[in-house]
Amino acid sequence: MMCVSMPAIIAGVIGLFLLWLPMSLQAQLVLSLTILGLMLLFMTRPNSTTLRQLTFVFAGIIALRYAYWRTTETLPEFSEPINFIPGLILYVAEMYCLIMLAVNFFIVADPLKRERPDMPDEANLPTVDVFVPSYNEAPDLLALTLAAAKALDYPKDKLAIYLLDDGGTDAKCGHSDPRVAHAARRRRLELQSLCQALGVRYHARAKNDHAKAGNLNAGLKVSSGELVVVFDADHAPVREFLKETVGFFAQDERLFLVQTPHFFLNPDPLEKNLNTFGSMPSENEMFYSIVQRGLDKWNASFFCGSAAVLRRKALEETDGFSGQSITEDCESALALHCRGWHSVYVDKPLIAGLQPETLVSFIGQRVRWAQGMLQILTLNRPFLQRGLTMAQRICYAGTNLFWLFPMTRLTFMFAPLLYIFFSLQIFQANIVEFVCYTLTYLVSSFAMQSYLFGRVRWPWISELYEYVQSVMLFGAIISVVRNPRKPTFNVTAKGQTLDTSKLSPLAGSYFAIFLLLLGATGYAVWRYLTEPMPSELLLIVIGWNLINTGLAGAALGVVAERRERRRNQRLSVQRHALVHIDQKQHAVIVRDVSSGGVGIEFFEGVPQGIKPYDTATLEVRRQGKAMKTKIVCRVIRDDQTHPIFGFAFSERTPETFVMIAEMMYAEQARLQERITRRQKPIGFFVGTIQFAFWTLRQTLRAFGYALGAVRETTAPSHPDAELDLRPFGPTGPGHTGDEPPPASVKEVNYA
Amino acid sequence: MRNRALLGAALVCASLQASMASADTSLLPADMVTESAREAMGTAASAATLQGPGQMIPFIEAASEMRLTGEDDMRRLRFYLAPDQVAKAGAIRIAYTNAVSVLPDGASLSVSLNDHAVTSLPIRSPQGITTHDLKVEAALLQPGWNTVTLRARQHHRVDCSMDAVYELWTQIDAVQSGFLATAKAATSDPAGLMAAGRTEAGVTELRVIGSSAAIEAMARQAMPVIQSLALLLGRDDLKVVFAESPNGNPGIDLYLGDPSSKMQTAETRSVLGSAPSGLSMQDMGHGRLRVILRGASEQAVAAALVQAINGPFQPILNGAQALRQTSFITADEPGRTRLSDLGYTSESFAGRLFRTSVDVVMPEDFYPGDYASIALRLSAATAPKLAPGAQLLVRVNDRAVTSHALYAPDGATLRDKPVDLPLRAFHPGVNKVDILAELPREDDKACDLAARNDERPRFLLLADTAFDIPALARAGRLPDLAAFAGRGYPFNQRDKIEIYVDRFSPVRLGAAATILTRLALSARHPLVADLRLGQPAPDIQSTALVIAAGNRQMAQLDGKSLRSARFSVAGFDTMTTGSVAGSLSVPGSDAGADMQALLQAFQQRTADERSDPSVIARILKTLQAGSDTVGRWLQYRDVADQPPHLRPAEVLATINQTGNGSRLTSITTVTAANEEDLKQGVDALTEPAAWQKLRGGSALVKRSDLSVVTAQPAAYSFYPLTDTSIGNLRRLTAAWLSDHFLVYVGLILLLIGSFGLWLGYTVPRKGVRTVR
Repeated sequence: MMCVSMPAIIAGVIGLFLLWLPMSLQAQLVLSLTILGLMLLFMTRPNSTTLRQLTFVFAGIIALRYAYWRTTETLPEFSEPINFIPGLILYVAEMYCLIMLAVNFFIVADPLKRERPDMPDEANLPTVDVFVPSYNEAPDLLALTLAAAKALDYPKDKLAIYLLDDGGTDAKCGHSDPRVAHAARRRRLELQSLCQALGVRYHARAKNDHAKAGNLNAGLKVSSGELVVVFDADHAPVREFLKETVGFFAQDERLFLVQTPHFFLNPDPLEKNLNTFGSMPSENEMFYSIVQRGLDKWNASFFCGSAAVLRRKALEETDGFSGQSITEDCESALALHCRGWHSVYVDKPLIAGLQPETLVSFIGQRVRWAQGMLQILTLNRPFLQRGLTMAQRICYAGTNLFWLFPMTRLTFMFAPLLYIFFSLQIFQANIVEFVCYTLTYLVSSFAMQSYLFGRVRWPWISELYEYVQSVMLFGAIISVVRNPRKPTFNVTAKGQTLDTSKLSPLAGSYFAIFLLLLGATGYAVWRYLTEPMPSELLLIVIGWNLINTGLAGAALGVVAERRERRRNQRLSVQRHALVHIDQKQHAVIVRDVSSGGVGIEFFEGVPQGIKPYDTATLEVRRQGKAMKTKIVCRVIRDDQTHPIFGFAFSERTPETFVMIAEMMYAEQARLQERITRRQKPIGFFVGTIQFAFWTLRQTLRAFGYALGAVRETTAPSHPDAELDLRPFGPTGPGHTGDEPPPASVKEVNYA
Repeated sequence: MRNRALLGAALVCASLQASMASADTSLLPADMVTESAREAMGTAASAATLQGPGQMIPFIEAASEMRLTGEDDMRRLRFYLAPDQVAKAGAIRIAYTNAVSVLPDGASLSVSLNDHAVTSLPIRSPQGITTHDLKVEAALLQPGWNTVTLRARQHHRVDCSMDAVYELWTQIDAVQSGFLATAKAATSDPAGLMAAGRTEAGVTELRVIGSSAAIEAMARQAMPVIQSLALLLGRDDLKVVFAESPNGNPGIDLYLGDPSSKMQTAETRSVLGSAPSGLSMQDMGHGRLRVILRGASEQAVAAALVQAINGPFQPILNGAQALRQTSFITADEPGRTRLSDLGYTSESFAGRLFRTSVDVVMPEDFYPGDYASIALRLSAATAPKLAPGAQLLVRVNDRAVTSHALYAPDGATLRDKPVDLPLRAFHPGVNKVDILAELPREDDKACDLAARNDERPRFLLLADTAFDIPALARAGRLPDLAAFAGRGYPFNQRDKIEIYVDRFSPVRLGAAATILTRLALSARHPLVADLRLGQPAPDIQSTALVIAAGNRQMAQLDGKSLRSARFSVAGFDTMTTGSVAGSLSVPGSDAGADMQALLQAFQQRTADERSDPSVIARILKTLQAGSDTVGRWLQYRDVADQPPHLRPAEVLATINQTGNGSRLTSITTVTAANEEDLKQGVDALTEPAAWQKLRGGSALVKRSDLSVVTAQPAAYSFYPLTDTSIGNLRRLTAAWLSDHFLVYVGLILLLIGSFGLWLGYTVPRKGVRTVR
């Protein structure tokens, strides 16, 4: 091996020396075009690991040449601080991107695709505790998660489900504010009833110390299973969850984590407002479908807070989950990786959850992630942590450093304005140099992005997500950098609805930036047309600013929030069932299910006279056992080959949720199908045209909202059936037992 | 012993410094020198030397350095005076002619002496040369070197366009101009040497007088002497002639040897016999000097020469060295040189085209490339209301390398603004950097000459504008005529060089000696030369200069190499030279590039007779033009680099270098078909402006206009490196690989590709294995 490695490394070092040479533009152009040609050739064989590495190193050649040129040729003179300082900021931003590029190449060098291991004999299966930590989520949301957890395919004597309720802690129940104390006690009672009905263990600790990490650690103290599974309150697992994951622990005694992806039933604000949900890959798919697999290769896939199985023995080494940062999941994984424990990532969607619907809650979630990751970067310093392999250091440092992207994104957004308005030359280059270095580097970057992530990320979508977050994350990042211990855990609101379409409360900044960029574009074009000798640089800057304006325009579409009246997210399924109407039995296919109802297709003929408000009974069978619930027809969608009848559940008891879980989460394939259906690359040019179209359309829509030109129907939506729970009785202090049923509370969770 | 003496002379003279001042690119046009002007020149020349006890001391600069161009230009001219001559003062004689297009009203030539204003002359002599004698007080003069500063301000008669500015020139006549000293220098004073006049051809003739029967021995003896005299004179328009007797022309008649020697003619014996031993001079009038070096043997002659140079001539050399340090930038070491260090003074400019030039002397082993650039750190200001199109141009060796817009409605101030000058535009030796500012105003379009206001400045170039010289890639290359002409390379590297002539004839030896003196001036010290008959052996391992006339084989060889090599035209402005239109066909030439150029020329000439091309044809034409441009760019060529098409009969003489640097073998060959061609050819090659334009591997002199055309070699060989530092190796690697970028790309693919393949093998086996 040495006889191969040494010459190759020497060749690499000599090659690096050659790349470090101050070459002519001619040499640079020929080199870049040759490399690009070969890269595109290699990209036609995506399954070849060797060609993949060659593609990386060739892309690295272009990036290194660009970095060399950028460093040695393009920086403004130090003697001109008005140019030099912004020029240096732009340079640092670009170098950050190059470092992240290198780290990304390393991470996704050879992503793993894990095969499902054989399960041990039933007698040898480890005991499993499932933790569902909750803060103040609605009982019906928890009911589905708990019912799905309870339905996990695992020996019942080895499986225990825990609802860890931080909304009903003793401290809260005894809160000095009687309203808070009252709500907490009522919540505790409701959830205890729910748990009793579902066969789940309820636990509320004394105090809310250390937020989610503290709650989980409290759960560890009251449980004893060898493995611990964590599901967020809205993360309902499919039945095979444990079968897909537990087997790994038998293979590796030093394994502490099996993480699975987070699959979401609802769109995030960008998907919702740009109408891309279901047709475009979701934002998190890049992370879960490629990056985590890449991290897994280097034993660096980390705990994402939910949908994961952990080994209790490992957690005991670190006294449970770490709580120094507000992203306890990644921090806990880092602590265990440092102690030599291993992790595994299974790239199969095994849970389905919710993501924040509104821009405010979305930004709130990202602020927590960004601050938490930067806390880890500054407080834990993963690159310097003892016990990590070099690969793990790179992976963790890269994962944490990623969250500095708002600084670079905003730099790229505003840098052109300095030239347009003030003629500051912060990037010293002429058009030939731009073509030879910058353009080829950009082409290479886009090609690599398409090659690595084209299946899960369409062109310009990363930039849009980054920009939307950057505007609001900038201050949060400055805050955490100044005082890493300052941030506190804020729960993410989910399951919110929006009665009317309107601008987000955060929209002002986005409009201001868009108008500034648009004005700059107009001014730059005017300059170009009227100046007698406009510089080549101005033309480049106009193009750059135009792209930024397009991004800002598309972002206006994100902050112009469409209304969301759906309270329960549907999941498409194909489940045989029976519907009893007027003593008559009809075989049906359940086409979609949500916590509120089902979509049904009568494949043997539609019953005569069925209409909205008619009632029926839905029967589903599992292993010969029938489950029934009453349903009421709400809507008939007959615009398809087979009309779909929308039924709502007439009542929602714990048994109803067991049935819902049975229908929704019986098969992992349903989640996988939905992901597979939307993971389709569209190519750079099509993606760019589509993005340009979005920009125009969304900008107009946003300005329509701003001007109050929103036309929407005001038809009322039917409320869900009440949750029918039978409380045990008062347990909390001061409880009188005659309070009214709990009012609807905003659902928030830890994710 | 003789060799030792010669070597000793060389070592003593190693510190001699010769003038390397900038050379302009154009001489006085032939059509401007009318018969009357020629008569006037002769008359004036005679008059200058017929004023009894007085003595005419010409400026040392050659004619090409005495041309003032554009609306505002300045030249510095130098002369040398003995203390006695200073005491008795004299007059500055300015003889000039100017372009017809110069408007007489307001055109002036300011004259300063040693930075003191003397007077201002009107410029109004388009029909021929006019002479002005400007009396100067003794107080303005100084013993030793004196500097006359001429500044011409001139405007066009009828045209206010920017292009018209290039038509403005005033030419100072190098033959008649100088300092008219009231007193002659004493015969014992070395300053007398500086009174040597120029011939009507504008050259300083150094005639070696002796018997043609013993011309070989005389030439051997004369070689170190003529080099030393050349270095003392500091003139780069020197021509060496071997003759049996003086011809009466201005210049220097050199007699050397022993009167009792059989080699001498009766006349030389008489002259030598009447002279004291050692070095002596006699003023023969008419700008003609007699320099006698009497010694009983060759060793005695050499010793006398050493004694003279180390003694009375030392002040001349020291003064010249001091002046040289402030006349150009020596780029041997990285550093910064401000314009003020070169004598430039900040003065506001009111014309339309500002121009100033700086000579940058690159080391002989400088390797041009793109690994770095010279930073011109510009400090300047523009006035408000300049018209759009105002721009700053920097030209290196008459080729525009960069331009920057100066248009700013309210004026602009530039402080320390870096302007990169690519090193690829430079070559070893002397490089001329022109800083031009085109400064049109809207009211120029009206061209109201009466309304012109010279008090309203348009531009100011501050004297703290500087040149930052980077670390250079250093590797001596062969062939490289630029290093040869600019620094005497590789002749300046050897203890001894060899000069071959195919026959010992006065013309051949004169040509060899003339080139040798130019090499000594370029090298700034005398070269120890061994004169030989014939041609160098094929396995020669030394540095040789070969002079041959009537060598058909050499001429044919040159013709072939010229046809196959890449050419560059040495003209005043290659940016505007029509390279194809004036070319001639070469019968039998099969070079693809030539055919393409001919085709393009044909199409250009017949373009106006064609019907309007279709849209597709236009698109194709545009694409073809773009493709050609990119193709040329990838070959580091300009449009001006298109090879000219010359018939062999059009070639008067050629110079080319061959050999192998790594084996320290270098042969520089000058050939012509016959002696007359050789004489003319060497005159053309050694003309100061042409000499500084030599570059590449070979050059030829065109018979039609005596212009010099240079050709790039197909390949170089390198001398052993003298600087093996990592930095130099890196720069050299970058420069060489840039020139051979396909090799670079291949190496990168090979090396990084190998690394990538290894990664492709290793990565699946690292971390969690993905291969079994």
